[in-house]
Amino acid sequence: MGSTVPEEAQRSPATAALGAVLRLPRAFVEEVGQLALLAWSSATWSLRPPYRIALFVEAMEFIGFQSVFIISLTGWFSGGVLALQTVYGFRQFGAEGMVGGVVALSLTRELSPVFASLMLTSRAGSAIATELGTMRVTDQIDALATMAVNPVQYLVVPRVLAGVVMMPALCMLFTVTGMVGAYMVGVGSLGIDPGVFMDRVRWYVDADDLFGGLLKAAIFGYVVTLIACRQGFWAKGGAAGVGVAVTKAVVFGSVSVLVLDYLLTALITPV
Amino acid sequence: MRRERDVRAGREAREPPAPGRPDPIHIRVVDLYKSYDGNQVLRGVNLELERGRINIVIGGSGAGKTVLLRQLIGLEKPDSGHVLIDGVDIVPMNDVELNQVRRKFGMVFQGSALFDSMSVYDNVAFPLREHTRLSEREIRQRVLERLEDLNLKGAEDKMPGELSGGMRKRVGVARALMLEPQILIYDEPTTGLDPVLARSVDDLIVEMRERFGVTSVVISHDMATVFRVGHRISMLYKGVIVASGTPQELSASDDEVVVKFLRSSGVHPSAL
Repeated sequence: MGSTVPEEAQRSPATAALGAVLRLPRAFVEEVGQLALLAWSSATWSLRPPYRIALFVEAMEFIGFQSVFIISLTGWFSGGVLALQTVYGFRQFGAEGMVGGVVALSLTRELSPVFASLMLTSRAGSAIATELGTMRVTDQIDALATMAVNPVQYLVVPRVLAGVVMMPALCMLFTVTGMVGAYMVGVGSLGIDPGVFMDRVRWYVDADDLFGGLLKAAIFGYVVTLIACRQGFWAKGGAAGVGVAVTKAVVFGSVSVLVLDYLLTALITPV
Repeated sequence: MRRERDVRAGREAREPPAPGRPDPIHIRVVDLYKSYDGNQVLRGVNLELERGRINIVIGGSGAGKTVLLRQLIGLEKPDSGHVLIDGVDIVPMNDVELNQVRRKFGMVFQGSALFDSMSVYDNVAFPLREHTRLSEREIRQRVLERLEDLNLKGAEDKMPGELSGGMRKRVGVARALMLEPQILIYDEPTTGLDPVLARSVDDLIVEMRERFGVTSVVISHDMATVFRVGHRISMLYKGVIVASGTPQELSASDDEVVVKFLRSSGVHPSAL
């Protein structure tokens, strides 16, 4: 007869302590590994027919069009507050005319891709994780598989592709509404000369700034939707499990955006 | 009970099927092992499921019934062993090959697993839209026919959330039957249903088998269902098949585990 003492209790204190210390790195490696597997699986299934155009359009509508209002709103206020703060700072040494250029540069390079991605994570990422998580715990994903429909191709591929395509568009929208906000605050409220404001925008910002920001946005869109899909797709444990999946989707998505932003900026910005 | 002992040992000897005639064993499970995080759930399952019959796998909670079912349809890979469908092992298959095999299956989930973002009509039409080139008109005709067959006429525009448990089950059956599968799997079909509804689901299982000639595989711990509809019953206990036979053979079994399980259920075939 084998021992009835649980395996956990048989471990020495040193082994148990080591296990506790390694739990977090191990969970991190597992998480990254599962994400990589889903990325590979979705990449291969995206090349295989049938191409699900209708689902792709539906996902673009959900991720892109339905985010227009929230992105416009946050973009306007971000541009406005940035103008307000820079005017306050630059006025100390009589350089408030540079506000337009500084705000435009900040938005195109950093704030628009990052803020828009964070908004996408909280709005669309959480919704994707909830929908897929609910489908998982109610066997709907298994039902797809038993009907000979690959769930990754049906559920993950359209959402991830839509994230890649729509995120740059949302980033552009964030920049435009942010500049409108900055202009209204800087010119309309704080008395900056409109000609100087626009001239500095043209002076400081060039196409590389814009494209760099859009490239970041496309990468963030991919990562955020992939993380949300991964969390929902493998959710377990009923309603509570779906809640955990949604929390993880938002937290991991937001942290990934900020970490990746630093890495990408270090990579593409000449110092 | 010699036959039972043979099956338990996984060495049941059968004559090969005559040329041109299908093998009477539709699904064969050989030495199947499956564990999760070191917890061994299946410990060498050997099982034969007969073509065109109602095969029932019984067992208590945690015996591994649902895990076994997931291996049968390729939703998970076992640690070792074989699952042969029409003599072809599905264990080494990749996703694309599995999709071909899965078209032989229809599955009715415990909670029905209807797509809650789709109406009843779209749920039932889903397999046809995915796997056939039928026009929308032909699909509509087939879906409405099937819904009428299952006493669901008029429910086509309802959403799954608006349906009763029995109706959801019938919609699940309608969807599973759309591609005319050879094998129909029911996962705990009567769990959570009242006795009247459970009886109607039992009748449905028998009717589907009689009308469409499908091989039925029912995973259940509801002994009333087992004795009412089953042709062949296998009992899964602690990850192995401990007994297998007709309802009469099972109820006459002197196996300690079987006797205890049947006695606890309080159901005897003579009472049904």
